[in-house]
Amino acid sequence: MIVCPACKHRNPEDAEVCEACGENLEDFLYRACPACGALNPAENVFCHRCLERLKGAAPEAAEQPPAAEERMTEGEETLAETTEKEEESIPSFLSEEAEEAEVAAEEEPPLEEEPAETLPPFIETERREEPLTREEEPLAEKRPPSEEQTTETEQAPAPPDEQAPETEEGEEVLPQIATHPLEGIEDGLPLEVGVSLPHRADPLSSEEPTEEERADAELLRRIAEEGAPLQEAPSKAEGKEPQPLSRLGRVLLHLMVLLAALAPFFTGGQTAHWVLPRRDIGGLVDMTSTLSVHTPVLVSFDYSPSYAGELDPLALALVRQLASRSVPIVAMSTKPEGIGVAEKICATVAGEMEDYRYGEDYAILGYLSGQEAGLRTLKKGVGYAFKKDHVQHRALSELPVTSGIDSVADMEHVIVLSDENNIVRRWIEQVRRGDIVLLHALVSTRIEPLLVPYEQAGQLETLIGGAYGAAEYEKASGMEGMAARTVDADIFLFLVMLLIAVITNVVYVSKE
Amino acid sequence: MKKILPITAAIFCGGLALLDFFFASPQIDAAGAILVEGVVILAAFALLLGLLNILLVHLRRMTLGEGDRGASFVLVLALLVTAALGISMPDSASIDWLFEYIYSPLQSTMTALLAFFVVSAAYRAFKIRDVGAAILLISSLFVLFAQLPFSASLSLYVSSLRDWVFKVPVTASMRGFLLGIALGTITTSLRVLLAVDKPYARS
Amino acid sequence: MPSLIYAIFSTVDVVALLTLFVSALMFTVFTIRARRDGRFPLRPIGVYERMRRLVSHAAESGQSLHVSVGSGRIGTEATPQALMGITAADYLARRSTEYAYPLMSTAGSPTVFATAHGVLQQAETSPGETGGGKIRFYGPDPFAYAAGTYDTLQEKAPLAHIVLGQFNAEGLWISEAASGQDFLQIGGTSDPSSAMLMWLSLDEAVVGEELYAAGAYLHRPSHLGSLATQDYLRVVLILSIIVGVVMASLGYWG
Repeated sequence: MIVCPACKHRNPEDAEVCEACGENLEDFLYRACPACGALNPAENVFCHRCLERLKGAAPEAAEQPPAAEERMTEGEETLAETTEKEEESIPSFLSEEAEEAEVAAEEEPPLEEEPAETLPPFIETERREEPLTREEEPLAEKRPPSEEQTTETEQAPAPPDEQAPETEEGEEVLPQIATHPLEGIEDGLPLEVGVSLPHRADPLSSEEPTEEERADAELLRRIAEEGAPLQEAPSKAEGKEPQPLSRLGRVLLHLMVLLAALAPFFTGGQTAHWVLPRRDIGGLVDMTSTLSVHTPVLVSFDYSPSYAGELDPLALALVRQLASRSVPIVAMSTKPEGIGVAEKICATVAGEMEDYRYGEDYAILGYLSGQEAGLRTLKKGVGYAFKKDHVQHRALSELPVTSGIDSVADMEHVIVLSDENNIVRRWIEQVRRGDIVLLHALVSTRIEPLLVPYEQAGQLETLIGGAYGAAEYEKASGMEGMAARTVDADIFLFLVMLLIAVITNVVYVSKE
Repeated sequence: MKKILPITAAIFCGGLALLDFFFASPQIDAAGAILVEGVVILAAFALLLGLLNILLVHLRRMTLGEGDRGASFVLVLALLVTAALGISMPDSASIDWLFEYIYSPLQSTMTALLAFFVVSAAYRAFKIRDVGAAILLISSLFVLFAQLPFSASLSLYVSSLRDWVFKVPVTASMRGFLLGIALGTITTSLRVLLAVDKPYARS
Repeated sequence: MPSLIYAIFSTVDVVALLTLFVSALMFTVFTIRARRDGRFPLRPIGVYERMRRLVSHAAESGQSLHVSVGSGRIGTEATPQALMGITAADYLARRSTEYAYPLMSTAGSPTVFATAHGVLQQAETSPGETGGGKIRFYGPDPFAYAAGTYDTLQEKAPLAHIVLGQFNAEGLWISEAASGQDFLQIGGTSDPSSAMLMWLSLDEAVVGEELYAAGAYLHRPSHLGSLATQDYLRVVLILSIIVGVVMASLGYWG
């Protein structure tokens, strides 16, 4: 059955035009095997898959190997014609090769009129490259086909290095490989066809490539180029490194941390009496005890409830001490969720002290939006940033604790409780500039090291970090609270880390 | 025009913000304040866009059955209830209750998980593969030990050494880090300010 | 008039203004040079190398990539870091539209979400291209973002997770929680406290200022000028520190 090159319809052997699309079938490329349906090149006599004789193929063709061989050996000579036929079907990314092939074809001698070479184009593309590296003269001109055939059959099994002798001029002469390895073996044509023409992929379409195909070719080229490293970085396959910690190991580690965290429930904070406050903390406690009862302190609760476990004890210790000294507190936050924290802390202390009242002893201004710009507005004047307080929605001048405040400088001390180093930086850059206030930062342990340079430069009066800092503060102020009770967890966590370090290295050394 | 307009607006606003930062003048301050308010309003609209995204993603999951439908349902319900309460009764005790008994504990729990993650991450760093890793391990363990309440009672040098570690090697590396970040910040900002990088008008 | 000028400049932070002026000058010169001369020699940075290769890998395998653009708020001092996350998302989205691999993204702040959304949408609607990315927002809270991202990672099981931009503690949360999964994790942030821990959890990480080189290394040669400015400013800074230390030691300044 003849396969229509245009629409792939399978037509009867005697069809001259396609039954489906009317395409001329004179130059058909493929014939379908009537037995197994496999596609075979037009010149095939037997099906490459089932060896069934293909209908319509001349039986004498099988018995006249020289004719077939002649055509095969002259495959190179038919190149120009093939190239012409295929020129239009070459994708853009192969155009350079096409041009080279054209040049090569021009060097070929004139050709006899031969039926078109009907091997699939992708095979022809490979073969087109051959003349470029060969000597100019085609072999077919030098020797008669029979002689050439014998020589080639003898040379075919030679090892590769022997196949590429060099000429005197040092130019490489490619071995005279037969176009077909089984060429010349008589009485074996059916077998030859079956072995030498393996099942091939669908051929490239002879039509002009579509936009999509062109895009694919372009994509392929770009992917190949994308992979190139910027310099000579070693290229290795992507893949996840093997996990250093198994699932069980991870569970065990986490279990140990959990036990350390739960330790204070069993030990009851026995180690609190060992706590010795650092100089910084002692300084802050001393400062708060010398503050005037008429000058409020601005406390900014710039942390989210995420860090409540770490910063709430510090905030509570601070507010308790200020409240016990009757120092007025003006609270605010530059984080939306911080205002809830401020309310909670102030409400806790107000609940502990009967005469600690909102508006007289403390006030919550609210959330200050605008990040840096908000703080700059605050610096211009508290009244610019907050028109009313957050709890009672009264003008600041109506509340006793805020009535005398026009500017931040009126409060002298600003204490920032924060879980983000950028927030403390904002306060330093936007509010402290010009040394109008003294800035103290009470922060989470994670960000403490990042703020040490500011403390050393004198831009922060005090820097206290984390839950342990709270225990020190409680100790220094003489009011032991929840922070002192959790110190035991620190000891157990240290033991856990020590254990991890030992286990890690034992495992590592034993594996190595 | 479609490109020129946003670029001009970005350069103008950036320049105005810089002027506002460097020079104190009532007119510039007023213009700067308008810009700040604009940023706050835009951020609020961006939040609305985000909320819409949350709703759409989870409504889609619920209707198409993708992922955990139950979790999506809880999320959408919590979002709607909180939004309704917050808008209708902003100062009510219900909002305080939600904050104190749902939001805060959930947040604290998520943060507490960090302790576990830090330990499992530290496991990788604690291998003594070379001299550098050994120094890292020893200094980490020393700082941890020095943080313990009774360490100072063993020797006064412990706390002095801890302070030295914090104030010299740690601070030196942090300064380097911060300066590098500052340089990166300056050049990235200049890129946006001079319209070499146009995240607002990518084409 | 002179009194007005004096009044204005007396309030100005002259050092900051000078730094900005010198930086802008260097930036202009180096950007013009970069555009004229083409590419500057760049040392390889593992994360960006891998990101480029991951694109090829995703194109071949058809697997998805996930990019977490961070929780930095645009309009604050975190803007430059947040923009680097956007740059990475932009690069991956553009490649996604060309090579047709799925791209998922998560953002942790409303402003970065809106910007990334615009960038991804623009890549998606480029003429003649399909694919593009999808972005999810999980609320302005960092840990809600972490939990949402973790959930999305588990749901989509991508080829790789690129976690680049402004991250605080949630960066460690995301990278460490997902480190037990079967996909590659690369990225980083410039915030030192988070960067160090993320460095331990990620398969490959940028630390500190390497983050700001994302654009120049990935797809925007116009960023090379700013990279060169960054390097030369560093030299100026080192010289200033040395001069400052010498002068202070000799008792002239401070």
